[in-house]
Amino acid sequence: MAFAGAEDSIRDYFSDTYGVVAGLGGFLGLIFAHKWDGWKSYVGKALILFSAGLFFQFLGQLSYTIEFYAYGIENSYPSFGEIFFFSSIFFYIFGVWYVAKSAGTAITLKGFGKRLAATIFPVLMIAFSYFMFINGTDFESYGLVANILTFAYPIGQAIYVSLAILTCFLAFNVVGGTMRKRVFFILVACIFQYAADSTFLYKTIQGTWVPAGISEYMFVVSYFLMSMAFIDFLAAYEFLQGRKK
Amino acid sequence: MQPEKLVVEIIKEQSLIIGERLAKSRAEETGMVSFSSPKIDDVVLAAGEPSQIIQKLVDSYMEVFGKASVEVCVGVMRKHPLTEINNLVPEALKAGI
Repeated sequence: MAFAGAEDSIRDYFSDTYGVVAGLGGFLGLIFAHKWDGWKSYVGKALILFSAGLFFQFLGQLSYTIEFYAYGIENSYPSFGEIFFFSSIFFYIFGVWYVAKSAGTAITLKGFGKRLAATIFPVLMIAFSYFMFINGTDFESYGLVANILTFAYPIGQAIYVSLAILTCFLAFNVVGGTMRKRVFFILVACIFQYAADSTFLYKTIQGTWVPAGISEYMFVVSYFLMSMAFIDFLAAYEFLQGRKK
Repeated sequence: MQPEKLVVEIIKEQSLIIGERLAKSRAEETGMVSFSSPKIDDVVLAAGEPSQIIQKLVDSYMEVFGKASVEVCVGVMRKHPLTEINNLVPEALKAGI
């Protein structure tokens, strides 16, 4: 596929179908969250929120595919699918929040210096996103919704990735046991999703985005990583539940 | 303070993080804690030194999130005056309270 021409239909087929990985992963994650008592526990909440985020990525992809095949509209922006893509950012933000609570970051978040750093870092990430993806946008060429999304996507994504990176730092010396590598795995999956989102935004702004290009390969990998993180959480649960001394 | 009360409080606090099923299962895994009904409140402790039972309970939770899990248990103990729970707190944890 990497050698297919820019107009080859195989690229379109890939673009239309790779979201299935997110759909399946999100569906499995919701089932696995039930093991951790679902919404009654922090770990269960984190899994539900990440699963919903992943499933909404699938619904966003599906919306674009339906628009194309049913109505013949190709890559319209903004479209109905943005509701799902944009909502998934909120799910990721709160998913990371509950992973952070589970991993005991509140313990390490003591002292003025650490609290200040935890406040400044997301602000720096938002500023970075502004200069990378928003600054220089010709807002007069687009409608109100598109302009709002031009701000909201990079800023929302900067929030979840900065929280994920912060959680990695804060949890590093306090989280251990069976869940240690699982916590970092799901956070890395989240950070990789940000890399895919940013690559997509960059390519779109540059006008170099193509179906089945690097950003879509990165999305597939990020969906796969997140799905594997859910499976790993299930494995951890089974291990902790079934282990006999 | 009755050791059962402190054990129940620890299990309930862990339930908020890992869920009730796993929190109870980890408690039972110590071999010192059982439940006479599906409710956490109906905990039954094996005969033995209360501080040892609580140490085993803390160790069992430590296998989940490591030091973070221990801190959750210590946090529960901190809610009580040390004089009230002195005989229940394992020696290794007294410095942290």
